[in-house]
Amino acid sequence: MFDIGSFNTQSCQGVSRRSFLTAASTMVCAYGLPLGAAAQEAAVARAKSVVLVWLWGAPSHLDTFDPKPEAPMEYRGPFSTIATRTPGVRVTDLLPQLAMRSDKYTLIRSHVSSQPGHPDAGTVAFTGFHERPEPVQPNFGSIVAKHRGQKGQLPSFISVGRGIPRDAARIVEGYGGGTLGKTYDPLQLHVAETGQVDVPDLQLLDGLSPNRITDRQSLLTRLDEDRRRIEGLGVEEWSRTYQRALGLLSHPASRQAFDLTRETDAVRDRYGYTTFGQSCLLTRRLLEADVPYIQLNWSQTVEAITPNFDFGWDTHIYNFELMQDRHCPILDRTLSYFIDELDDRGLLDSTLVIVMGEFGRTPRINDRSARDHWPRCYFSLWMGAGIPGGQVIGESDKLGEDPLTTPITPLMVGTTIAEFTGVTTQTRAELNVLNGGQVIDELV
Amino acid sequence: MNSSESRVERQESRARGDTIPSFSRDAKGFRSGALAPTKKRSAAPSLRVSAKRRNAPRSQAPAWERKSSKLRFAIALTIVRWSHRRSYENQLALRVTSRLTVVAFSMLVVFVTTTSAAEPRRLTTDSRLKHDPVFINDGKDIVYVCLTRAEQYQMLKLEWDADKVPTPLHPDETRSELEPAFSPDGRYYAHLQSRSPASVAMLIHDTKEKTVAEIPPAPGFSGMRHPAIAPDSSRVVYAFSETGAQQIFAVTTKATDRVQLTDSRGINNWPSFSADGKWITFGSSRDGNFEIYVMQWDGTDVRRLTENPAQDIRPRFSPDGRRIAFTSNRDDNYEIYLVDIASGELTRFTDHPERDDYAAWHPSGKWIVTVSERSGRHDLYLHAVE
Repeated sequence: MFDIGSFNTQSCQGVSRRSFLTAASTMVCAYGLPLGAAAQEAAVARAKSVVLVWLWGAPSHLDTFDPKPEAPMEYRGPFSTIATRTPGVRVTDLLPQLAMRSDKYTLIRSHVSSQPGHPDAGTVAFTGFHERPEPVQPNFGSIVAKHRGQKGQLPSFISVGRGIPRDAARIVEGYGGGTLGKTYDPLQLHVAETGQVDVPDLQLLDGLSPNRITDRQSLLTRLDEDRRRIEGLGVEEWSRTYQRALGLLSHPASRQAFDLTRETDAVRDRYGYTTFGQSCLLTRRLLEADVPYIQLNWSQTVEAITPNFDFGWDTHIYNFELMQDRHCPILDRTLSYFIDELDDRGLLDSTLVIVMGEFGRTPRINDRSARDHWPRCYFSLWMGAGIPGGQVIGESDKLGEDPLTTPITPLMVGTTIAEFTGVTTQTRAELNVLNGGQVIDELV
Repeated sequence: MNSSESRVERQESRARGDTIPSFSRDAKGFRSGALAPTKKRSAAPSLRVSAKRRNAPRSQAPAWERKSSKLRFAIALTIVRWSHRRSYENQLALRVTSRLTVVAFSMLVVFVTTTSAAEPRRLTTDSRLKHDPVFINDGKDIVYVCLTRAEQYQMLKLEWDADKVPTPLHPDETRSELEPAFSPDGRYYAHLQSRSPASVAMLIHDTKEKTVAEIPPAPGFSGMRHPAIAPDSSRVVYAFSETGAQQIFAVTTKATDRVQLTDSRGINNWPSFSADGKWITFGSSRDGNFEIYVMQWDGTDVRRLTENPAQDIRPRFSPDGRRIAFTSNRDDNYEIYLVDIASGELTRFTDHPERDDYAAWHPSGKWIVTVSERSGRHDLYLHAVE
């Protein structure tokens, strides 16, 4: 059997010509070849894939997974707490379904970030380092992609949601390849609440759509024509687009990974018809297609209430209303079913799932009855890839202002992801990434 | 055992993987306090309501129900005609089987159509996120907020009993507009409008004078919440936070002469007038978590109506002023409850594994519209009230 990614392309006569050609071309123009020792390391990696569920805008830790019911009213907020499946661990009553699944995940309550602003903190969270001094370091996903290489038609690092994370001012510089080059930027997949999936990268090639590409020759012809048209983009940009177009358009099976209509209504219903819900469903399909690293973005923008922005977790006003009206009900429903599906399909054993934002929110309620930025303490959830569920790592103080235990930094998050995916200390040194990083010992 | 302990015990039991308790346990979820224990709805409340509606004068039945009756009759008639034709065409041995099949199928059709007539009626089908419906034009139309694109909430108007497509209230507006409120005579309406990052204004429209009064956002991050217009249009109440505690204020329809109505800790929100304008119901976390309260129109005589560790939010007076509908997650997911103000009797109005929220009364008091999540889709549903 000859597989391209997870798609079986063997015909009755053996390996098809198309499969052979595609495999060959993919190996030549691929996303970069894996490092010399990478193949061996990948074999011993605990996680075949990683999903970073990115709650962009920074959810309040006190109103979700680190409530402080004994704190004064000016801190604890109006929500009650409920028991979880983990003895002694409580979360707010906004998350009843996730509370029921606490035996599936490890909760970390002692994260700290060095940056209080969204784009800066986003870069730190994605790369482990501040964006200045330049150069910007690579996203954790880019490191995994470089290490693993591209083995199928789909890129090794895909960002699902509504585009490169940004705030009103600018994008997060650490969203992509950084020092490893733009070749390791994530493929952006845009998902609508209806489940329609778009590939903005391919809009670069005017008129190039799956419907117009019927065979490999027409695709190559079209790409060659477009190459002359877009010479100004530079070799690297052209190469990246070329590779992705090849991978995505020359194989119907690749495109099928993006086609959520292939799922039953029952499954799509359970995820819910929100951008985040259908994004989670797409992510599950990408995991089944063996994509090594997927960043699943809650929103493109951080702002919760701002004209023409898509309702992130940055709740400087309306914190409690947004949490109870919109954000937490969606997160609770969708993430719970996502966990269930990965577990039921046997994907959770080989997939590392992390849920977090770039920082927390002020424990003390602000003048607008909401919460501002708080990088000194926040939470994350970790599950899959053999991580024992039902444990809590770290502890915050009685007001949720600072960790009482060893602070866990974004660099430790990245280093731990690297360890899980087989990017060893030696490989990290060869790549010159995640320098000085330590793993979160309780997880590894 | 108080209600707090009871709820925690239920949660812990569920967390341990025990069997999820049946509906009858809801009665334990309410605290005696000012209110009597929960009264469970009848096993088939919607069917009883349906029977009442079928006996109602034809002119009072909504158009959708009249259409439904005609449809049921037409289906049954078609089936009978078809069965006669089939029975003569087939061999004798097949006739009995055919007849039995047809009779069974007819019974199924009658059952299904009767049942569906009794179920809440789905008013929208786009499935997008929705909030804050309100009846206007004597109940003929509904205005609600809908996420029409990923970056914008729009106010849409729906002629709900005419099978028409909802239309934007402000078609050219590209900023999010939220939480509409209307005066009973339709002359005034108020809503929120997103202006810049975390900065929201409140607008009060006078449709007769064609003017718009505005309370602009305060400096920095700020925004008003949930306007409500007095039945005599003498004032508009809303929630706003200036010093960490969110209070309820009142202004004229010109957005002038602000008066503070509440002065408590915590968050006061969702003010709503009684039909006579003498009372305001609202939610407040002043006693620890969100509960339902009422006060007189001038902010005096505050009374607490609920006491439960869960969230009791978004109260709305019934048109006759006897009941208040509100949302609560006391049974884990959001459902609609009714409280009789005089007796304190509490009734669970909706019961579904998915969310029911944002109750709004029809002016007749016969129906409540909600935003309900069904199979992951968010739509407006019309529920009959017993």
